[in-house]
Amino acid sequence: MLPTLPVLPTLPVLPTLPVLPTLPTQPVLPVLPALRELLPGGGLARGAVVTVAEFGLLALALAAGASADGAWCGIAGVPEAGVLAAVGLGLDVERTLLVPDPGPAWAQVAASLLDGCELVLLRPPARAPAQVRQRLEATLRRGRGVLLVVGDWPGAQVRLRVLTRGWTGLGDGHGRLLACCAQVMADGRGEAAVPRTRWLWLPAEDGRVTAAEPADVPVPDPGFARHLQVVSG
Amino acid sequence: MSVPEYRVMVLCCPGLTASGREAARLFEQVLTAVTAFCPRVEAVEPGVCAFGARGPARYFGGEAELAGRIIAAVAELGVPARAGAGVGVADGLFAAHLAARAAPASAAPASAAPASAAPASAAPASAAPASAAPAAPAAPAAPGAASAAPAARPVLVVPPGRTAEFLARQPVSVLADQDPAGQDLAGLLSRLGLRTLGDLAALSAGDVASRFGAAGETAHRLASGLGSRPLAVRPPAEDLSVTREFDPPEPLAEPVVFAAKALAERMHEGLAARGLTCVRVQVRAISADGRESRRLWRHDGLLTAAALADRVRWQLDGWRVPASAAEAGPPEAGPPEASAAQAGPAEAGAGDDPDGGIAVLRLVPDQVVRATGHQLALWGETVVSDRVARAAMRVQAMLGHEAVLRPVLGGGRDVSERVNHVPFGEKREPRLPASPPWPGRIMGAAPGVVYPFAREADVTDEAGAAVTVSGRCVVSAAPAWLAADGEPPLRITAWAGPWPLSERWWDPAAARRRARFQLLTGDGRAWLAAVQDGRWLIEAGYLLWAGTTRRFPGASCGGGWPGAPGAKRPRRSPPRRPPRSPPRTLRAGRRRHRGGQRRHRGCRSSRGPSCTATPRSASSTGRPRPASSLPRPPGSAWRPSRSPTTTGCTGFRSSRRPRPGCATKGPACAPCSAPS
Repeated sequence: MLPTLPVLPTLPVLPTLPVLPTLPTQPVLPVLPALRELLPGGGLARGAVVTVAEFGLLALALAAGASADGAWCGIAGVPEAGVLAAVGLGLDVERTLLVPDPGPAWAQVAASLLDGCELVLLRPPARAPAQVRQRLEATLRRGRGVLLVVGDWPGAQVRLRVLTRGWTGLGDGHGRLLACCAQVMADGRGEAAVPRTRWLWLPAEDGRVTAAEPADVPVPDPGFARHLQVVSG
Repeated sequence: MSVPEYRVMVLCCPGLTASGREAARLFEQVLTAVTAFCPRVEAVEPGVCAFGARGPARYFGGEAELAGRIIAAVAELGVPARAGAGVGVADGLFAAHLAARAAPASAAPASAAPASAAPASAAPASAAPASAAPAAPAAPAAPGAASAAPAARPVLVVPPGRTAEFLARQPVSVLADQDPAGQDLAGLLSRLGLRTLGDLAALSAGDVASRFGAAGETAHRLASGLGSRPLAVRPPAEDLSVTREFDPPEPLAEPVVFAAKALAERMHEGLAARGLTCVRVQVRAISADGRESRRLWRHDGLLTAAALADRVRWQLDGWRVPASAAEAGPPEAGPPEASAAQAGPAEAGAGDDPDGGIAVLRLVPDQVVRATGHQLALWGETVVSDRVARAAMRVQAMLGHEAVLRPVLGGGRDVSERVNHVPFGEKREPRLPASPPWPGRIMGAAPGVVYPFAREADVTDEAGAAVTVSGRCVVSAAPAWLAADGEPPLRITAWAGPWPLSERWWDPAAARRRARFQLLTGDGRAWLAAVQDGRWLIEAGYLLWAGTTRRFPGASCGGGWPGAPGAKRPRRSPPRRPPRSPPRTLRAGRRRHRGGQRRHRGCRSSRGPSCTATPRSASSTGRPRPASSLPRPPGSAWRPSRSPTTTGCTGFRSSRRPRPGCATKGPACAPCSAPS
């Protein structure tokens, strides 16, 4: 005879699980915290074209924020991109593709890169005809990526440029470059139509990008402007 | 003795016996050539292959005829080491190998004295037995039971049944080649007075076995013409490639891509049935007019048929891109040869639009390996998603394999050294390891703009003289003006340096000495510049640069040792248009028309009128604004622009600027690179 099995206590019925809201696709690619205030929506809107007037640390900083968040980043037409500085800002080299010289087929290269990467930093070698621009923008909207253009791009949603900048740390034959305080202005269309201007440490002394105040900007050593002069007697 | 040995033909190429990749590659070609005559070939050792001769000899009309054809086929390959190649035919591998080695020696007397060789080959069977031949070791072939081919080819055919006679004349030292034990045995036999294999074979097998053991017994059997091991032929390589021909040729890409999918499935089935996979796959498309596009795609057993069809599509697209890009671009921007070189979609023969459509599509698995599956690392491996890989490969199909790069951080002292670029799909390894300490790096923030090739510049002091650095690292004067090539001079408002760097002095090719500076110019830009070999180079910019980059190969990646023969000015880029005026006039006019006239900085009288600078292209994104036009920040006193303190010198005096490279002229402008 088998021993009678102990009666197991009935398990309490689990309350119905709360229905998790489905996560919407993030409408913007995140950027570094210091740059959030410059951009409408606090990031790079997917499907949008963002321009930076000149290639430099600002363009790399915009890409670095998205890359640090896990996005693949393609850099086309910028052979002199300072990857090391971008890594200091947060760029992940593992998720970076470089096409230094896209040549005359740069629009096709950018479209191909947009298929794979969420952010493409592009410096067109020549001014883009309207037809090419429209085709690229259509690709952009389909792929939900962001095209970061160095140079001019009519119809860009956001345009960024560095108005003025100044370095600290370098003296007359001594010191070394420490940090750069830059005034960055963003304008554009739609939400970004109102120009926004921010002071940024680009880069700060630790190599990152932080917000600055004009009042924070250190007054240089007053002795800097003085020069030793031969005096008579 | 009762079992007859079968006929074996051996091809011996003494020039290919060396170990090495090149010899192995050539020998592989030889093997392929031999396979055309007999599919089952054994590669006995480097430079030696063997195969059964009976069947092919009957087909080709005789052993001598077959051997002659093989010699001719090998000669056609253009194998440089074919001199001395010989073919031997005998009963058994051992004898055939010996015959092949003796064949070139036998050919020489045959060609020198055809009259004496002809009777020997005409009546080999009636020739005198080997024991009767005088001086047998010196000329083993001519009088013996063997026959040289009539055309003085290095061929030695030992007739069937006469192998023992042939062997009997061979010295016992040939046993030494068999194995280490044979080496000892050969020495022992010769010391015992047994000079030839015939002497050894004449002994009783039992006596030899009891005296010399197993090695002796084997040697005795070999000497008697017995006991050669059977050939271990390798099966002929199977053709795993798949081909589809289009008749009529297909002008559209889509049907070709569709066929490629079916082809890829067939290829994968063929590979899978043998438990194989391929590392790469070669896609070859041949157009109707005979041009061919070949490209290797990385496979690693991961590509599906659809993915492979995608590659075919990209390859075909890439084949067509140059033509369409040349049409779309401005005529001067896209000359056909330039765009073809840039987009160079494949190896030789490609580059133009395939006229007349695709005639043949062929998928060839490359580097076939056993399929062992693919296992990713558990942690720490960035997985390149299919989406990204597809995008990257698509660009590679358009521009070439080297066009899509992935950066790798490594070691080094220069910013350009510390980032290496590896083509997408290749193993990412830095050139210099990052782990050792690298003293001498510039500390602080890394520059945002790193020129792939350093830009030339001129840095002058207040008086207009070039700033130099002495061997003891003393700056001649405070730098006051910076003129990057093709740019107007900029006022230097702050600077620091020199920071010397002397690298790899033990290697003359990689050695370099340089002094680095950080410069801040009046427009708010900061630069990383260096003096090397007496000239100024701008390596990087700290914020931005809107100009075009000029390329100076080697300037930033390890120049020569100063004073070395190789340490010379790099070549300028080819001139795009002639200079507007002769160099001397230009130089003189430079002082008068500062800012008004475009200056060709490359046009210096020292380099002759043929050397012109490339003017800045109109497509550059514009010059930076002068600092004065920018809105100043509220507290803008923090970077006052220094006004010139001297009274007399406010301009950029080009006339007093010394020629670059004049650093060795006097003590005042000794370069940093001068030995201290």
